[in-house]
Amino acid sequence: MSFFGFDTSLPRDRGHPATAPGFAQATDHFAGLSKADDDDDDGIDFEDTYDGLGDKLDEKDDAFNDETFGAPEETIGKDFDFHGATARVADAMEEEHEVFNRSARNQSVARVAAAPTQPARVEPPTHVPTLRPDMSLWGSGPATTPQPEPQPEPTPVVQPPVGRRILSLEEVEAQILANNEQRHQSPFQQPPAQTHQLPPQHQHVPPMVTPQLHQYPPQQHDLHQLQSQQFPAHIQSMLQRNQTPPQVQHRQIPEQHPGGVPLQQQQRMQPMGQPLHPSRNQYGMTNHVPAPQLQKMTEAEKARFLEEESKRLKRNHKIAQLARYNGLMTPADKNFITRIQLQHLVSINNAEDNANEDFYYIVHSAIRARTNPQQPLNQFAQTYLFRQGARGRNRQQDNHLQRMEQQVQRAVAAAKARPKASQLVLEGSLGKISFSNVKTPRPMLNIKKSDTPGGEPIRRTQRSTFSSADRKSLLRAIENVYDALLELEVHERERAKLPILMQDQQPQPAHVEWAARRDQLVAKLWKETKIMEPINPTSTATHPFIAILSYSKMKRAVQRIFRHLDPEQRVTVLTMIVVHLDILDVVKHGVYLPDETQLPSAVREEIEMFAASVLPPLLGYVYEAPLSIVVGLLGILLDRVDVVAVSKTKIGLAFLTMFSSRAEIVKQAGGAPESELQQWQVMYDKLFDSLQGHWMECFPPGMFVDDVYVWQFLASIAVGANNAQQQALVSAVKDRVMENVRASKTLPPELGAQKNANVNLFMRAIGLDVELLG
Amino acid sequence: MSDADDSSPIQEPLDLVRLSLAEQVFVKLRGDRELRGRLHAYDSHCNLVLGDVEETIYVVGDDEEDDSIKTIKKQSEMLFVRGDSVVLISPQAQS
Repeated sequence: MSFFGFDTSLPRDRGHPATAPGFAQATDHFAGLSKADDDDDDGIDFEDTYDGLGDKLDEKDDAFNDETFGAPEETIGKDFDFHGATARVADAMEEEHEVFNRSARNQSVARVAAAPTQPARVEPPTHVPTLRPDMSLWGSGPATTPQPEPQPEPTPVVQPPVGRRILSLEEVEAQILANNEQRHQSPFQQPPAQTHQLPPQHQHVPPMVTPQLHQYPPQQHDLHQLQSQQFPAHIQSMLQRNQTPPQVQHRQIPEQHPGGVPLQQQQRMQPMGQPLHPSRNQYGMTNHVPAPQLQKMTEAEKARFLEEESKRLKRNHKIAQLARYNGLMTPADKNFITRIQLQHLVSINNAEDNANEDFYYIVHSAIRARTNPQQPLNQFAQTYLFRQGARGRNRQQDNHLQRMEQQVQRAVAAAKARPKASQLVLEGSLGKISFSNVKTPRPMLNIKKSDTPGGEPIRRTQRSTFSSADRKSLLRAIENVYDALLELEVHERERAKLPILMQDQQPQPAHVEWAARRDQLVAKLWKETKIMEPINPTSTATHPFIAILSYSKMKRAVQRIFRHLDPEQRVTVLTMIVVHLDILDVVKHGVYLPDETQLPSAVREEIEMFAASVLPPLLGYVYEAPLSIVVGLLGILLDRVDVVAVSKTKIGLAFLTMFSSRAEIVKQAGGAPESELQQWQVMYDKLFDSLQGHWMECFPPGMFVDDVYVWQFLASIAVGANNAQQQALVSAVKDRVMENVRASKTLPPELGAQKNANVNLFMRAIGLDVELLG
Repeated sequence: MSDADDSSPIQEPLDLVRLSLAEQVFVKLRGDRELRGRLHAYDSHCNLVLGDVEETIYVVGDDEEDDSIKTIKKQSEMLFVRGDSVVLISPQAQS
């Protein structure tokens, strides 16, 4: 308890036991100290200085302190090793180590022990050795035997211990080459001891060869030689000059040059980055013409020799540069890379994988090839062959041409098999009457719910759930359509994997299975479009199909869906749209308001989208449809839809144009049954009458707008009109025609010509021409 | 509609984002930014590709006395948004 030699025999029994742990020991010692000065010789009165805190300590849990905080401090060493400090002295330490080793091993080396320490002084003490893969890790032990070596000057360089390396191809090649050269040049070989005189810049160098080498057992010699190959180029060349054949030299020189620097030292002085150069000469000397030989040469020979020599040096240097990273990769690494490369090669050639990996590229290039008129056939054929080629590879005897032929055959057969018109809708009938043939057997009577108001109330519950359809469920419905569509498209691509059928071949089970699955998927897609939801004319809710068609993404899907539908389903889609033409978003919003000269941009976008995505497949269908279907559709349109309202919109007019022009074409082509023609005439008159007096309303407001579609419509109507109707038509749009002709004169030539051409569409239809109007 | 729910149930929140594909969306980003545009694509990290985007950045005046909020608007034809900055994605009715 006392610091300064005071009486330590304090009355321990009072107060805190000194052996107990606690804070008591930390009490103010100096308080006691001051007391001791003036108080009794009894020493410090513990009671006076002790505040009694220790008594209040709860010490019953201290027993486990060691467990909690670890063992007492003996386990904590004081030999902390800080990396920086160690690194700074590391070189010196190594130096010491070697010096010791050498002096212990060899007396003669010990004598010149001062020399090796020299580099340590030159070397910056903070030099950290460059990291470098340790070759010895890869299978061969480090062979760091000391070796005699010439040294021009003690350059402060460091080299790591060198292990035997796996020779690269270049190295092996170099060795072979060197051996050849050695054979060629051996006649020039001279006593090695004299070579020191050759390079003047090396003459000041003390020749260094240690007698150590004599101590090596003979079998170590090859190891030694191996090492000599691994020196950097310039060292190599020095080595070659100063120390010709080691086997010989070792026996001659030791006595003369006792002050050799051991290899180990030498190696440490090499720059780290310096590669170990594979020698072109296994013994490191034979491809040199020693000095005396040189002296005996003529001037020309000398010059040539020197030139050769410098070339060789240059090349050695280059190889050394290239060889910097030799040995970085293990054989396992190299194998790995090779495997990857091989895999790439294989997968490039395997188009089956390509189709999976580069799906988007393949589809993209196929589409581009199809739409780009510049290089239509070539690229498409390429893409096509590309895909087909994969299978050709699998069945190696096939060639592409044969395959193409088969494809064409198949396509032609399919086109023939497609029924031209499998059904007929008769006016006033309850449904469509389907034709059947061998290829497409069909149910004879197909009740079409859409145009039978009485037949609809079948599934009232379902309809009522949908009538509450909000935006979200519509969007979900669209996503479902896309899901089904994608699934179906993927399945269609699977067809390419099926074996090809000849015309008269029986379908294999795979084909049957594929077809069944396809039908199933088409049915699913069909269901997801909601097109078969019954129509309720009294309900205010929009039909689900029409509702989802108001989204542009659904419009975009129509074209893709259409591809998978059979003709009957197609006509259903068409009918559905025609029936709801007036509530179709593009028609409903497509009407110009009284003071509008342009539709809102969003509506315009939708109209464009509809015209680009929905109309083409429908047009494609109608232009092949028989007159009966056209008559039926126009009948439905006139019955259920406000034709005048519809005719004010671009899309509405497009439908009317579609029907009337198709009917006109059929009529002119002839061959249509008389009854159908009569039906058509009835329909046409009805249409004409309902639009009579509203012709001018078809035009969009404003003079300089795109009204070509109106002229097209008028033309298609005018073609079928009788004289009275034509006169009525002309008198109705006469003003517009004149306006247009006038306007075309004020416009720039191209625009004017365009406008005239538009008007001419109509004028020609009634047998006139704009030119006649002057 | 009920059968549609069976065929593709909403299993995760991002399934709702799917409904907004090709639709106008409102996206709030970190750093007081908002985007309005057409959603072209998204992934599980909420990385988004938007078309015809209007970006709004809210900036507080940098002086001490001037703490009024300024808005900077930018227009981009196509935008890739990295998901880690997305705070919310909201469907937006067509304006």
